[in-house]
Amino acid sequence: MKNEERRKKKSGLNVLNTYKFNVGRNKMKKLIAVILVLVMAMAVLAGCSGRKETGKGDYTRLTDVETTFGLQPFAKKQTLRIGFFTGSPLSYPFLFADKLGYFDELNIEIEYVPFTNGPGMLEANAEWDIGSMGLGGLAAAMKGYGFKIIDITDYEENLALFARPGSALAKDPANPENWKGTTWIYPAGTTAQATLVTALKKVGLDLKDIKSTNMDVANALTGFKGGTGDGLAVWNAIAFKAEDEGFVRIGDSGSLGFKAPCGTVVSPETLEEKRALIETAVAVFHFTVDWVKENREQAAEWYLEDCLNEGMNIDESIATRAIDWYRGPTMEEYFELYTKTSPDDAGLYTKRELLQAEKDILVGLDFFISQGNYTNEQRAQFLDEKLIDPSVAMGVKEMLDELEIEY
Amino acid sequence: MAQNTKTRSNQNNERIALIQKQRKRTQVQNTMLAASGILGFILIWQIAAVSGLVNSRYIAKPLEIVNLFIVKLTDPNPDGAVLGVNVMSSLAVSLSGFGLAVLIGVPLGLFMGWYRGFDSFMRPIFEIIRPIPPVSWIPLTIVWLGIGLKAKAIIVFFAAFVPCLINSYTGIKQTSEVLINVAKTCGASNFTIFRKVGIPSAMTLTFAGIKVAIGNAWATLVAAEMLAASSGLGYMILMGRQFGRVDLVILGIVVIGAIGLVISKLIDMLENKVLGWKKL
Repeated sequence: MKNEERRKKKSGLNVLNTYKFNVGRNKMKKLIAVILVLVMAMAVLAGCSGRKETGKGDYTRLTDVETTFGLQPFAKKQTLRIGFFTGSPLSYPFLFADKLGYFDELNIEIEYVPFTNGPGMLEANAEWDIGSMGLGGLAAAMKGYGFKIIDITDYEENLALFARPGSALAKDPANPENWKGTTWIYPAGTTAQATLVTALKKVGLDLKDIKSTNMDVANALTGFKGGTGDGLAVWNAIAFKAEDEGFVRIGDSGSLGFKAPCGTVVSPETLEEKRALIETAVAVFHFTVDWVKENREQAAEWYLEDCLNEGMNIDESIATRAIDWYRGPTMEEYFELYTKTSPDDAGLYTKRELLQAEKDILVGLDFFISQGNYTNEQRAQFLDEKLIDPSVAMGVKEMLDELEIEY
Repeated sequence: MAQNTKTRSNQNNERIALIQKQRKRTQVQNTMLAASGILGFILIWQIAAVSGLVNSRYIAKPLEIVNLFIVKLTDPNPDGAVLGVNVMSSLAVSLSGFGLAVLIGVPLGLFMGWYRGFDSFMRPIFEIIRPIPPVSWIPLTIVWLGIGLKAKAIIVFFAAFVPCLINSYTGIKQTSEVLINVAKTCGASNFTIFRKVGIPSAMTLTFAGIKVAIGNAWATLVAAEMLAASSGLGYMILMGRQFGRVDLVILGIVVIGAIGLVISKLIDMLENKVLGWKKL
């Protein structure tokens, strides 16, 4: 009897223990689930927290050291990370200056972070201090990231339009009938599209009169070679490749008079932290533009070497042509771009006169606005916030004047 | 006696009603949990964005996304197409690639799993194709098929085909030997056993593969629309990148997720219908 009671009691205890164990296990499960959700949410948010602060550096300069342009080197080694547009000449003067030892003598180390498109470079903005890109990238940098455009590094004239050899369009691009209903392949929302629209406007048409397909430039040429489309709009080395493939160049931004400035952008925070370093690098860039104009052969050789190192399939002839088409402003032109002012050609912004750099960028931006990509309110906001910022040009000018350096 | 049977029947009915009530309660609880999970996530997101914990340059607020969703229903800017056009365009690409993958992958997997000779013939080819990332087919696809719907559907097909084939193959391989032997004893031919025992046995895993395949199909959509497009959700995301519009990118992602969820639920419903006999 006693045994029976003991067994019952024991069995009751077991049930109770199992119950307690299960309740405890359920609580633990819930706790773990809550912790996992919190960790996941924190991880997602941490991933979006943006760039890390680097703090202001020590930009003391050495005054008694002779350098190529007469600029004063930094006492301590400085590192500048450049978002580098591989294959596009717009950022290559940085590389040439580095090869020529201009940065080394100023105690500046350049770190290249290569990209092949503006959006990618902007998304990875935590990895670089300054980045150079085309007009489409510049507009996105202002709208999406609040970055400042501190420099104009090139005017792209090789935004080219191609037609198939023997086609009516290739024979007579001035005839609007030859354009109507044709299929065009190009990267949408870029200056290639703007060039195409400029060409269409010249014959009294617009994008609605043709069929458009968005493709990135490299794939666009492959598709065009494969027989897709009647027209192709591409840039840089790909444009020269299209030419070499026998396609007929029926226009380009240079011949159509479409201004497509490329520039350098920086976040306001980085500009504040590294202003002295950035101003020095920009000064070296524009001095090197003069060197490029006098040494195109050497520049083409280094351009080719870098493109091949980055896996781009180009040859000597393409490299030579790419450098020949380079239109980077000299130091004097750079200062003019950021000092000369006149009223807004579109008459939309009346609060102040606009810098030439602002007006050149607005040409492309107004095209994007006409396509519904941006708005006039955003245009006004960019100008109100002075995102096309002359302070670096002013700083460089002041530095050169102080050091009595001729330009 | 009759009264006893009546009482037992009443008891059974009560039990069934109780079980049904419990099931309903569990279903409501699960739905509430799922909804609170999503709402909780959105709430944390909104708080993080509003409080400045997360830089607004890098992530848009949930309310902005909702607002953009409403605007995009009628406004084609900035990417050039309204949301409906983008959704239809993407559905055409993903569903044609996915449909093709199911139509080819599932029967192929079933045949490979059942017929040893066919398996030996096909498996090496499949094993070579299997590890190739779908996007690496892009350059060849452009050359072979141009840049139209066919080319994009093929990229999606490569992503969806593998899970369809593997799961149907594994499913039919796991057919119970006992069932096969019973069928043989009853005099069924090999093809009849394949059709009446093998295929039904493989269906659970096949449906799991189809669900993985639809996920893969949507995951590859952006890459496929990178190939060439003038509308589509992937295209909308690319244009969002192009114009620095984080909100547009997030809207594209959310809509892809929502459509994926709806399609997944539709597949669940189909699975319940087809495999209803397997459920208790």
